[in-house]
Amino acid sequence: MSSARKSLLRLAASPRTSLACIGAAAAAALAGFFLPSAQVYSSPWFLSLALLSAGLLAHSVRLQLRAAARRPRPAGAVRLDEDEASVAGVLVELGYAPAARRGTAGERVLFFEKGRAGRWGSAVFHAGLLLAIAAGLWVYAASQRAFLQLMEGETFRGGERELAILHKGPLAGRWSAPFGLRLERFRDESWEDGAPKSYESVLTILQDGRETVGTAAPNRPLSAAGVDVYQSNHYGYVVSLALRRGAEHPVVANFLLDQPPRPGRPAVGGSDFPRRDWWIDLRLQAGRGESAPALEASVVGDGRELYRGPLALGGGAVVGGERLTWVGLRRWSGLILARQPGARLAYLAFALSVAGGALMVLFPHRELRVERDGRNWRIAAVSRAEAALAEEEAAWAQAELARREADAAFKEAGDGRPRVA
Amino acid sequence: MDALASLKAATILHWAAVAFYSASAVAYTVHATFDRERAADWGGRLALAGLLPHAAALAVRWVAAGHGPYMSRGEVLSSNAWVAVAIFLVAARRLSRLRAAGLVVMPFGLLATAVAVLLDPRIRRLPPSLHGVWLVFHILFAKLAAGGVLLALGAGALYLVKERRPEADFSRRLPPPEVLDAYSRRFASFGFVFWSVMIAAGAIWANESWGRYWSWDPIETWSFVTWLALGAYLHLRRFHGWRGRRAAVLLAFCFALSLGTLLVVPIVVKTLHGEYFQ
Repeated sequence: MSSARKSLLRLAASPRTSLACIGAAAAAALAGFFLPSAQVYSSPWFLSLALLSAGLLAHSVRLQLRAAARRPRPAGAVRLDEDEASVAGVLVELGYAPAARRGTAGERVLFFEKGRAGRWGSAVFHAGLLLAIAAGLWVYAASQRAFLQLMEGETFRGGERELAILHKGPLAGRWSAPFGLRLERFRDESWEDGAPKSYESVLTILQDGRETVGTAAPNRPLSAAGVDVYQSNHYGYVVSLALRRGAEHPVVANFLLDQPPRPGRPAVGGSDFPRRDWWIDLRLQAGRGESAPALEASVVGDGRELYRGPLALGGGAVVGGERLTWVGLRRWSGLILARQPGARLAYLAFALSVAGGALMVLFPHRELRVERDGRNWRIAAVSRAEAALAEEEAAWAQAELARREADAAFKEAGDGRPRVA
Repeated sequence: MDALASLKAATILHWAAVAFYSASAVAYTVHATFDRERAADWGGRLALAGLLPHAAALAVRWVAAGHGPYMSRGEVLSSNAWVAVAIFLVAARRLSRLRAAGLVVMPFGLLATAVAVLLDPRIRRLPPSLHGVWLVFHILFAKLAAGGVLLALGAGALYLVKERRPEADFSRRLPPPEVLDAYSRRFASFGFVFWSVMIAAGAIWANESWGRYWSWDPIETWSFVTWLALGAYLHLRRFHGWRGRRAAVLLAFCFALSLGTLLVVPIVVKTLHGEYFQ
């Protein structure tokens, strides 16, 4: 490997570079908070930062896995001599286990460690982060997400033109949903204070000549042909108006009004009327229980107000010489259709990150070195990461060992046996 | 019990908790100022005594509302305070040398609980989109993360006290500065892992609700920035030798970020995500 390449790889895995990436990611995230987010998070420079971070993480994970695997394994069960059992007993109480022993009698060094599994924590955690970035990039590139407004009784046939809003990743290709959706019924319930209690869409999925009925509700999406169908929190009423001129066939138009923001308030909306140069504003009191719905309409055309007043359901009014009739009232539901190929990978990434973090925190790796110092044992911390806490444990173990040895000597002296010097 | 009676009962229980937390904060202050060891014992007992009516208040309100304590400012502050005090008491029981951190934790717990009681007590219904088990994990780990970082801040504050006045009687009873510093790092690590779980659980819930696991919502963005800040703190400690005062100051910054994310951003920016703090 050339020295330039080695230097580059060393730089890539250096702690300074990691810190620089963390800082850049934070700055980039905040930029999207203050600037239009679509410009920031879909921009080439943001994606380049994500790719760079992924590359650096991949290299770091490789090095970390290699380092963790390279540590010598404990040589099976370390056989302890009788005089070593006392110090081992104290350290076992602290959760340590004998890991290795080196040297010969008179120059023996014992190593005790705990939290061995924690050595893998950092590698697993960073591998999870790497997968999360990979999943995010995959979803960004290949996902399709659409918003569909469907009236009760209406069928969505799967085409792109039927969608109200469509977002596609740069590599997503043409929208295709090889199934149809028919909204049978939209149901919603409110609390006494008018706050939404529940709402759901009863849908029929039309696929391969078969019809399957299902319900899409918040947190309970439907799935068909790799597309997930989510219930949006946008829904409302459909006011159907018919306009008839003389003996001509009536023109029927559907006006979608959003659910009122608060109970008791009217649903309002406006739109132009097809095949007429008119604009219609509507105010609908939907009516609950026994109260009938009430509609107020205002029609503007030819530069003047043609009509303002109530319309009864089934009834109508003469507007600009034509008969305007309120022919129907039903519900519409907003549905989110999403195809996200990388979502499962994201779940795996989260699981790995959490597992790695838990290993690091719940099993902190600490190592103690024990060696003879004349007649006594000397216990010292070897760990760098948790040095202060490991040193405290070493100090406690040292003091405890001395206390137990003193107790043992005192007991022996009390038994009349020769005092141990 | 009807809703009004439940709210009254919850308010009375909350005030009882505030009283106990106040006494506990005073006890820890006496311990720090006048070096009374028994005052620290009393501080712990009073904090534990306050946890009980506090838990009862949260439970009564939970039953009345039909959902957990996470749908209004008062509920969020109160439940965050409860979790923070509970984490502190568990840590102080296992590591009695850190109980002086009550000097930092209890005033926060007291303030959060007292403010919670003074806010609008009306029950807010849970929107249908805010149901689901992943949301419960998301909220639970948010509170655990905040509690962990608060405890780390407490250990860091003790370090600064010890560094500034090493000869004071109170300081002499504290563990060595390196040990306080190490505990600060450990609790910050806990906070970081819990914050990671919170983000992961929230992303899974968002995907199951709206078909998108990350949408750069302002609270998501600031939560991500806080997570990065905690990650930077751990990297600086591990690889660049940041210890002691520098680390404590950085941790205080991370704590401020976490508070801002959880409590300030939802007020400043109105989003569906911030419904919990309206």
